[in-house]
Amino acid sequence: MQKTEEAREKLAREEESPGSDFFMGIFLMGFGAVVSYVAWSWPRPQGMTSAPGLFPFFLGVSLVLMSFALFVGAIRKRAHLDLKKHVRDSLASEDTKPTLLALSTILIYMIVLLNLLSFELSTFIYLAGALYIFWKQRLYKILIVAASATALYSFVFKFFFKLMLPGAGM
Amino acid sequence: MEAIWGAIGEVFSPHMVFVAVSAVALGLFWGAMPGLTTVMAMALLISITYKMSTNAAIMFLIALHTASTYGGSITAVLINIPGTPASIPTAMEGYPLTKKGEGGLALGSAIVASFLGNWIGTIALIIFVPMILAIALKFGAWELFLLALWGIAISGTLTGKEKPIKGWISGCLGLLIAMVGMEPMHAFYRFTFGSIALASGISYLPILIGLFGLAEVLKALSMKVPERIAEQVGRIIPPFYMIKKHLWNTLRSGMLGTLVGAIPGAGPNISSFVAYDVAKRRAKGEEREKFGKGSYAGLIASEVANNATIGGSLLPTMTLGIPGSAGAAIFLGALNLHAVVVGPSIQIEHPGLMYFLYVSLIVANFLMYIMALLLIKPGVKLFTIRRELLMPLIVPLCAIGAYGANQFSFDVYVMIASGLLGFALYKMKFPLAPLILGVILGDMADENLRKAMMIFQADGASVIDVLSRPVGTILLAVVALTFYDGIFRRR
Repeated sequence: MQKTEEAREKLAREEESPGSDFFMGIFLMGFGAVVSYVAWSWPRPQGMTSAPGLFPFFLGVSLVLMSFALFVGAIRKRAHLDLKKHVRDSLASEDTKPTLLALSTILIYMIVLLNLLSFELSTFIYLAGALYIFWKQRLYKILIVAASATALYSFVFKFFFKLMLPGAGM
Repeated sequence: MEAIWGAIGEVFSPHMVFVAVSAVALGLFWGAMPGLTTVMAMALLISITYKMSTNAAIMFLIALHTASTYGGSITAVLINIPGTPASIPTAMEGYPLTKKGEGGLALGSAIVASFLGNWIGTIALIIFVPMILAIALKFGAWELFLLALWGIAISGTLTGKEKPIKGWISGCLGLLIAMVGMEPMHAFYRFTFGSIALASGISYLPILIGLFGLAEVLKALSMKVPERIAEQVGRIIPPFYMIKKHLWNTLRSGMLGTLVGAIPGAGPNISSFVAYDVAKRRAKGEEREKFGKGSYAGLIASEVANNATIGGSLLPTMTLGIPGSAGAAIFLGALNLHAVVVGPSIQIEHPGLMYFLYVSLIVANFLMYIMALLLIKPGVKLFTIRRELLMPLIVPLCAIGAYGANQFSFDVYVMIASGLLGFALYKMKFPLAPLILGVILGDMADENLRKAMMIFQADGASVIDVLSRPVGTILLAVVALTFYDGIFRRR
């Protein structure tokens, strides 16, 4: 029983994120307010009961109330006293660099490469680059894996399942 | 009876057997890979079902779901890395057993437990579907709105852990995403900002792939996991006395798994922990001491519940159109792609489909059992592939999955945006399951709320009249209790 209580306390500590709750609370309050205003301003052809804005308005107001509660909870945990530290910790955390690297490779692949090149070429370039960054093996191994995976995807989806693949002209 | 024989005949056709065997093999492999979750498997591999017949797609996804749910326990037991979050309790008990040299027996017990768990879930599905359908046919617009609202509220309460409000906010954001596009009553464009791409609304498939595929890739690549070496497996098949000894634990965990599975959005991640916790509390003397140091009772409870959730989660999915878990939500999406609209009238609109689903679940379970026993020993080394190699290989699958359904490049951008949103919400400790539930249930909630309001207005109904509808009032009380529980009881 004591262990269960300890586990519950540990979970509660892990769940605590007053810094991000503070910022999310402010952002969502603003967002909810905009949604409610926009939904309220929409036409109501047959009164409010069937108005297109009825449910979005209800959602916007709920979002404002809930994010206000989140914000107050963060203030109670004194999140506002140490905001600079929270921002600094978030930016300097050790997973920031791999996250940004992963994100950039994905965005380059999906937004740039797939719009310029065919699926096969862009996938091979992406996989070679991403595996070089994350897998950190010898170049010939990386190139073999990238080429094999690209060929497998193309064969399975394009030729076997007759699916149109994303790529130049998508 | 003819429909049952028809379903059995179709499931055992060579094409369907090939589909099932491939899906089980793929599911076992996928589930066993650390970081590759069951939901991710279903979200990404749904693209394979686009060109399949409806029944083949059902068979494929059911077999994939069944096998990958078990697959998560392989690496959990052997190398202490749970393949899926639902296998964490399995790792807590299975890995100590592996260290004692009982890894094979632990894996074998997990296979038998998964097999029995699947049976309990499937039997519950077969028994309760007709009952729920009979009740569901009496639901009006007001009741359907409350049902959708409750689905999101309970999902937020359960997945938001110590802060249910975060789960509710997540659900609210999902509902707002569902509001984008032309609404059906007055053909009014909501939140489209003049964009033609947004006019028809946002399809939830790319959102699912973004949330459970791309966001998972980002999560996995930003974590550092030490490399471990697979242990020797040893004996696999558990002796009969062991099954007999844990029979009550199995039945109890199976019922818990089915029940949690039937709660919208809850899923196997919750059921395996609940069943494990109950098994620990109920264990006596020497068995209780073993918990945390290698307990078969804990391992069996987790695996039985985990797998019983599959049948349980299909209950509200097929009868009410409300997915019981994220995996069931993807299954629902796949059915929609094949123009199958699930809900109270499923038996009328798609006669025979439910029988096919039952037979598919049973066949997938047997296949999982046989193939897991056959593939474990030769597959052990393969299951230790590093995530730094695996994750980049998943990214093209996300692009294919998002683009494949409609061949619409905008869907790829929706998937990227959802992936980023999912990753940001994960970092800020918001659960994702209520969000996807909100996206799926948004239209149902919106349309039924307005229909109900119009009906009440036309009838000149007072508050007393509204409260005199028994099903609606019960649902209203349940919704209020769920919010009350989330706000006050957890403090």
